[in-house]
Amino acid sequence: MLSFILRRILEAIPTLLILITISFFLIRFAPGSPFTTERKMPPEVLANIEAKYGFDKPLYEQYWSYISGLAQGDLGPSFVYKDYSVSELVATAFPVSLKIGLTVFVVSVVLGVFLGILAALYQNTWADYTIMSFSVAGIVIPSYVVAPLLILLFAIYLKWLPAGGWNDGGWQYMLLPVVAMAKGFTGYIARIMRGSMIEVLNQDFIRTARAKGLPTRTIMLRHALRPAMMPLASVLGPAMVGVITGSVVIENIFGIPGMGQLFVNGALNRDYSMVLGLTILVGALTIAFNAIVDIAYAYIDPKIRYS
Amino acid sequence: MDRITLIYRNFIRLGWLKDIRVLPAYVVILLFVSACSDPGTERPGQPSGKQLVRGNSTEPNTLDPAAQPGQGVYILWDMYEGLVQSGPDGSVQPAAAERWESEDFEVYTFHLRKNARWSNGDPVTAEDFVYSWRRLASPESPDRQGWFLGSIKVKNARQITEGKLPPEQLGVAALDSHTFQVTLEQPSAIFVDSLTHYALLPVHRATVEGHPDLWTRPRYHVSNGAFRLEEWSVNERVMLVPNEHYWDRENVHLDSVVFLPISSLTAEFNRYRAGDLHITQSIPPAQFDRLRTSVPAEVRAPLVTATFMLDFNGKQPPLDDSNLRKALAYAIDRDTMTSNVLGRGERPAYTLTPATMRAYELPDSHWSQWSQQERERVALRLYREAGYSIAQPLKLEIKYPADEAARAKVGAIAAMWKRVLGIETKLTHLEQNVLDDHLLRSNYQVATWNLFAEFNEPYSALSVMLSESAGPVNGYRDSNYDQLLAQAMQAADTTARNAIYLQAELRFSEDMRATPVYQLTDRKLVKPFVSGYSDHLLGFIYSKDLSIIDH
Amino acid sequence: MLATARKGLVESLQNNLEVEGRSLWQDAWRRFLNNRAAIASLFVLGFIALFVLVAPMLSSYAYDEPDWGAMHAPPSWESGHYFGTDALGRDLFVRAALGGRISLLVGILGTLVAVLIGTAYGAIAGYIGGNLDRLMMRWVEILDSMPFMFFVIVLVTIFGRNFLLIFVAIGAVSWTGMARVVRGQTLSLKNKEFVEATHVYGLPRLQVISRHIVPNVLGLVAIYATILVPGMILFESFLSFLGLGVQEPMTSWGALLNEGAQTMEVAVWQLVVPATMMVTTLFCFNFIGDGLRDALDPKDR
Repeated sequence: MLSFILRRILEAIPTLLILITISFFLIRFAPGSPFTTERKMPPEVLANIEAKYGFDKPLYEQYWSYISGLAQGDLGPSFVYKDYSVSELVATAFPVSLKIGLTVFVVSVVLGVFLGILAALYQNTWADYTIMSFSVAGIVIPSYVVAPLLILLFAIYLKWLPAGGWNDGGWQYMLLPVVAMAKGFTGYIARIMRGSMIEVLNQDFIRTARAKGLPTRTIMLRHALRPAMMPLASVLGPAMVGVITGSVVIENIFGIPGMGQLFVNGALNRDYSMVLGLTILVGALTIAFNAIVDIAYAYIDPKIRYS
Repeated sequence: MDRITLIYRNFIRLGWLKDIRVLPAYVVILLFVSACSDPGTERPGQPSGKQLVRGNSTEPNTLDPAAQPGQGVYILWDMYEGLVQSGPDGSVQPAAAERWESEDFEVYTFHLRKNARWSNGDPVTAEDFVYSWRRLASPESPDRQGWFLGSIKVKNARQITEGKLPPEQLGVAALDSHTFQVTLEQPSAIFVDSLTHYALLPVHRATVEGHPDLWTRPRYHVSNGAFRLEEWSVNERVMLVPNEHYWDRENVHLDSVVFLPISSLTAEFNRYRAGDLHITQSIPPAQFDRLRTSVPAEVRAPLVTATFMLDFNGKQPPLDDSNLRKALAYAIDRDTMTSNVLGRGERPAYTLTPATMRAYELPDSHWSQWSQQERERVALRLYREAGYSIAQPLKLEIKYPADEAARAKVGAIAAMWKRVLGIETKLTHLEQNVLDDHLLRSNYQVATWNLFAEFNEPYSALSVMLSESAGPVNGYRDSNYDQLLAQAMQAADTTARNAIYLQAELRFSEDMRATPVYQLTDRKLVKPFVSGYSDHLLGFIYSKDLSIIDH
Repeated sequence: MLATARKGLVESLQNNLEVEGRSLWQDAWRRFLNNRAAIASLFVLGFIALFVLVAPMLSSYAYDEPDWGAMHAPPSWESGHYFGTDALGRDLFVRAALGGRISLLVGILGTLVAVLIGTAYGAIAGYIGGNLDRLMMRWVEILDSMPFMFFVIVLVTIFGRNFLLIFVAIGAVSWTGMARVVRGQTLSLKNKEFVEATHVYGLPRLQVISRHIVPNVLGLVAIYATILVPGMILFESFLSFLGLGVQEPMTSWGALLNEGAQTMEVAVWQLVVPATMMVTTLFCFNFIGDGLRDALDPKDR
């Protein structure tokens, strides 16, 4: 077991390294640089700035110095937020995205599993159709349509909640963003849960239990729930990374200082070090959560060995 | 219903937290709890006391005046005080300098206010300005604004920014602790007007040198303006509180000023409606008409000294032909553009100089004086002479930034060209950074940009087209034009100066490397309880002039 | 989030979709016809497709002609603006149809690219196996851990001026889920008698893959494709939100929807028209996907 975890960590290093390399060169291929502005700068001035950040050196040398900086934990300065380093910005934005993302995650999983089970129990009745319609609606209606509607209704007309802002994540400030962000994710989980629950309910051991005359709710909770949760596990790892690394749409509309805005602003302004730093973070989180899911799977399913 | 509650109850009762198989759930809950237990200090949701909340469209890149490319200027103007400041009509008013004099327009002497203090209590001295200006010019600083010292002709500034001379050679000196002297390369009658520019704001030497990377943080930051930096949360808010040592502290009425970086106009508008925000950065275009009728007192849309320009790349065919460029410029119906397409108080523009800054007596022969029909007739003639027709239309591409506001006007221009001349125009929106890159490489036919006059003198706008300037990407280089501007700068008398500016305007419109289309408005929503707000010619707003009345 | 949830969904069904005899397709088709929601969706989708193709011919307005006198005009039969106009006075009836063409095209094109690459990649990796498989799947893992948004923004800036190319590019980076699914299926097919029989004849490996493996994973591919298409359409609308969508005066449902979201208090039809069309389409794809899955996976019955 320990050697399995150790090997996963060792395997992650080359994966990350390749990831960094691809990202490093890819963003350099994009036209523009962090220093292009509307006003054309005298070439001497531009040269000075480029020299300051080492952009005058050949690309492979810049790559090497970036990697060696990285090895010492230095993600470099931000070119867009010039008074901050990338590490500092990530350190302030990540907790915000983490808080909102984890809330979304918990809400979606609890609600999604609950609704999925309900739909499966009442398969092909109006309850099932209603739940599934809402789930699909949650998935297909873009959040940049839902979020402004929520703000109009709850903040402008009813005046129950603030129209945006963060304020250290007070619940009033979290409520609407969480709803707007969780709607799609809840829908997905409900759909997956419904599918796997129906499948489990049709299996022999459940039929046997039924034949024995056990009450439905006992069957559901004692026997069906756990196997039905299995397919969810593979989704949850990557999905977790998806929600905790921020959503630019939600952050933009609600004015939340999270990672999504850093990422998109970074990419649009060619803030090379910012984009690379965030790519590394997302990559590392993805690998980590995938590993956690694998380990969890190995616990759940005895057929899987650490081979 | 019974079953639902039961499932729910069992969910909790099942005891699956004891089961190792739900390890991921453990992790989630642990992370969640740790995130929630973050001891956030309680802050009031609604602005309280005399707190003014202003929109700031984007996060300021930096709070260093020497490196600020323009998104954070409101914040800079509140925190720092330059030698002079700008009045609502654009006139120059004393600020850190009480008075100034110059005999030959080449050497300027500024007498600083004796009672001016930095926010840590240090006196504001001439040495501070010497240090700040040298720092601005230095090629080593994180500078992008150092070019400005060169453009206003401070002695040796250009060579210093290019690294050819040391910063100590800059034409600035402290005659004594409160007398600051600037020497120019050539006489300039407009020098004092240019001093309202934000790049020239002073910084506190001991702080900058003591904390080279951290001096713009609230913990260390020291400023000499009416306010000082209290809090800065990236992408969330910047909060300023009064500088207790400010020389005019008794006339600062606000308890704090908060700037919110909100890039979405709709989001900003909603925050304003909810009462979170007192002065917006802009108004969503679709809402403008409705608001002007429903809350006319809150809508501000003054003309500002900025012009929407259409830039023609004269370096390559087919637009290397000045007659063809003129045809394109004439065919745009600016009245339709401002009244129908935009309709938010914009004004047709025919000169590089914003008309609210200087209204020239343009000769009758100038195209601005013709009727639109006449312009279109001439345009068609020039277009045909250049060898194009309905059968053989010109094909053009306009490159413009990918933002919603640009779409309508660029589409309208294309439609006008099609109607008058039959030109087939392809519209290409590019992300701003890519567009700038294309402009720098002259990889475009027609592009759009906004020409900002940053101080109250036509030179500010016209200098963009100088050969030596960083501005013209379209290849406009004309030594006569350069000479005219140099003369204008030296002319002491406003009337004489205006006559020279007019000549430069006429000269430029003969070439038409770019054409002005309309003068922009600065649209803002201002809550009725904000007092002291007045429209400013250049779009400056100083929070120290504002206060909040009981409501 | 979209991509990952999608992956899980398919993985869950991949285990169930056992390869069966010849009659599988006929049975599946019969089952599909019995699924009322799927059939209705098929009809609605057909109607929408017809609309986007034909509607521009039914109107006297052009999609790119601004009318400064009729900006934000509400829907009306008399004026011929059946769906009203947009901020520039352009006819929404025509623009919704044009936008639909782009959105559907983008969805289908992106999916096609993803499906082609994913199927080939997965089948080769799964069938040949060994070190090649390990190497290929490692590559998939790397692509999967790369933030999708980063990829897309960079691609958009590089290919910025050709919108369809962007979607070919997006398709070219969103095939990893497909590849995983096909590989899994191939692994289980590899040991079936009919495939093992090919070894006796000594058929070249590529031929085995194209003749025997690929046809047998098509059902799975079809299901996955119906999930990918709405994903692509939604992704296009996200790009429009960032202002990186299709070039003006051309439009897409995502672009219209984004404009509508800004003006919904002033001109609600600008939101309702594209929203109804896009959401209906995505719903249809969803039901068709469910129908296909149920049809190809008899165990659920």
